[in-house]
Amino acid sequence: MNGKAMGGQTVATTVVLAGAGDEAAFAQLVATYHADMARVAFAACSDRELAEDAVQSAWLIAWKKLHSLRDPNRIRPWLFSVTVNEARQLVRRRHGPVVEIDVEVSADPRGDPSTGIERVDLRRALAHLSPDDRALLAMHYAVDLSSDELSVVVGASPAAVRMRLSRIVDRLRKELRDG
Amino acid sequence: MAERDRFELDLAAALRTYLGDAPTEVRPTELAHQFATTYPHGRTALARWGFGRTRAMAWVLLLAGLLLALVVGSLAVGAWRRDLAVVIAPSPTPATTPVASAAATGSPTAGIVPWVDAPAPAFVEPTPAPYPTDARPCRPEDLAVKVGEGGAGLGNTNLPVSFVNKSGSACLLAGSPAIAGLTAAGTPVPLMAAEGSYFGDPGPKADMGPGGVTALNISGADACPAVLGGAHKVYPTLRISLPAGGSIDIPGGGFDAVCGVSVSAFGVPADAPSAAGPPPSPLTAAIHAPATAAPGAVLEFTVTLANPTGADVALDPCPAYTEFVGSGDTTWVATIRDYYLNCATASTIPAGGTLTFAMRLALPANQPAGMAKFGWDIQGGAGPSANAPLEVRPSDAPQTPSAVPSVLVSSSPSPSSPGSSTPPADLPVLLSLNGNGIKNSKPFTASGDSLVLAYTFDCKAFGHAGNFAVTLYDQSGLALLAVGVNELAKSGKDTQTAYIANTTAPFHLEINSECAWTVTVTGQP
Repeated sequence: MNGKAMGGQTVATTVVLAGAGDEAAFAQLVATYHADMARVAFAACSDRELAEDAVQSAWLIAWKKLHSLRDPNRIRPWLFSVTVNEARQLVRRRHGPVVEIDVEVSADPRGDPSTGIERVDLRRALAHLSPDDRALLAMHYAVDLSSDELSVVVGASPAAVRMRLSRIVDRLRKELRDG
Repeated sequence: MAERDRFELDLAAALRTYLGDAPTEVRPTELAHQFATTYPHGRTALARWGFGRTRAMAWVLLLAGLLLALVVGSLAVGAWRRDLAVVIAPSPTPATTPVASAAATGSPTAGIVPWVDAPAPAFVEPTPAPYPTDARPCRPEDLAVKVGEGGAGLGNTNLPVSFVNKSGSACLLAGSPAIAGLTAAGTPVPLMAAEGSYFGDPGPKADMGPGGVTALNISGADACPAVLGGAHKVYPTLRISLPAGGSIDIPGGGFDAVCGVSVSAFGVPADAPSAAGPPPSPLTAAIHAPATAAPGAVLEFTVTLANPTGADVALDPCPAYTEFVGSGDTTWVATIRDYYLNCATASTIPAGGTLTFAMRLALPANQPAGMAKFGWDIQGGAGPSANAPLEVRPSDAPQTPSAVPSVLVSSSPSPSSPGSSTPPADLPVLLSLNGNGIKNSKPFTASGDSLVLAYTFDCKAFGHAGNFAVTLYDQSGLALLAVGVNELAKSGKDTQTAYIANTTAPFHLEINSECAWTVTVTGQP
């Protein structure tokens, strides 16, 4: 989405307008990014209610702080970093320092039949990851943030992000393929 | 993006399916309107420039200032009284009259109160009375300790600690304490904490009465290479040395010291918002402005003040207002002006009515092109305020340089040699400091038109790219300069010039970075 048109204007213009209090521009940002932010929050929290609260909080922070975003073209990683931080805070508040939490049981255990990865197995494997790692995984594989964008979110170099992702994937590979 | 293997493709598809269950119910327009209604944006945007803090005290000062303004302002605008007609809109519908250049030149324009050149002093944030700090030092036996929940932000972690005075008399905790980790065997390991938490000080230094609270931030990071390599330094207990001797042990709370530790100064957290602050103004404001303005030109616009109440609102004492335009991708120029409303011409907003005032803001010739932050605010922080979109766009037409000097920031004159951070040799050093985390400098004075800031920052110890931001404030508390904000880099060094004409010393700097940094200010003493 970076630099591309959003509702007839560039992302940067929309961000500046939203930062100046333009409701229509802010609504445009919400319409564009909310679903992906909710997915990432859900990945981090594994709880619909918490995820919803995290994204709501993230949008409120965005409304208040958007004007301070120096580079409007970095809106995407910025929004996700706010979302992940809010989700992490909510998880800690609810669960304390324990990082491994139960992942919500899904009604459909089969998952996407084309992938060969059963939902129930994925759920179990995700439960063994920290909220941060689940969020990182979701941002990269479900929302398609690049390692450059993720470096902004997690405050590490793109190379460090790739290494961290590689370790997470190797762990999942072992759990999901080998067992 | 690196090519994904079959497993990663399967994983991505499975994740999308699984996370497709995430809650996505939202009505963007309603959400935006709810925020806009609950958190009016003008005040938030203006707060960036130093307005709107300590509203209770601000209101008191505003009333006092406006009393003075009434005298000065009425003298200044008196000449307009006999020439200009005032039209008060009969309904609360916001005026849609386009901005007319005639309004800015002083000619009457139907429905618009002409602009008057009555400069007002910049709003001065009231200085709170100093907190008493003359109590005896706190001893360990005076204190009960609470360890808060850890917080985190973009790779930084924080362990907030609160100390409650359980003694019968006031005592003082001050300064940044030494921190040690206690191993499971109880062996203390000094943590060599740097002074200055990334999360800032929890409050000012102040005496703590019986039952009172003083807080501390112990901060670290969770994304340095050591952590990514799997290393951790988590101590079951942390030992905090008190300034007057003795120490207090607290639960470690899972705090990981492997990426380094920094510690704030002890501080008394701000009181709960007991002071309700001044009542918000009943008026609302709306800006009607051109979509674009050229550097060096005079921006002409109108502000419509609406009174939705059932009672007239008298503009007495005559309010002062602040208007600003800020723009620039790499060099941020903030043009900020303070004037009085033309109260000599329009002194009352009737119940359910509106008044539209012509406004002028002379932009300097070096106002950078691009989308700008543009706002208007009645001084004092209680509103009303308004923002509007504005694009600064160079014009082919001849531009008249602004006659009004502005507060602005310019890049180093030699951008091709950013490696030089050496202060100019021909100017005396006014301030030199170094550190990490958030720090405020001591006040310093300067004269002349400009200051030069030479800075370096180095995030190697932090382990990865970090933020570096410097803000220069003058006596009014108005932010004059921001550099490098939100730029992540492993290191950097450069110089910036800040123009300080028409500002008031003493100045001070606020530096915000998780990395080690140095800042030197040179200029005329």
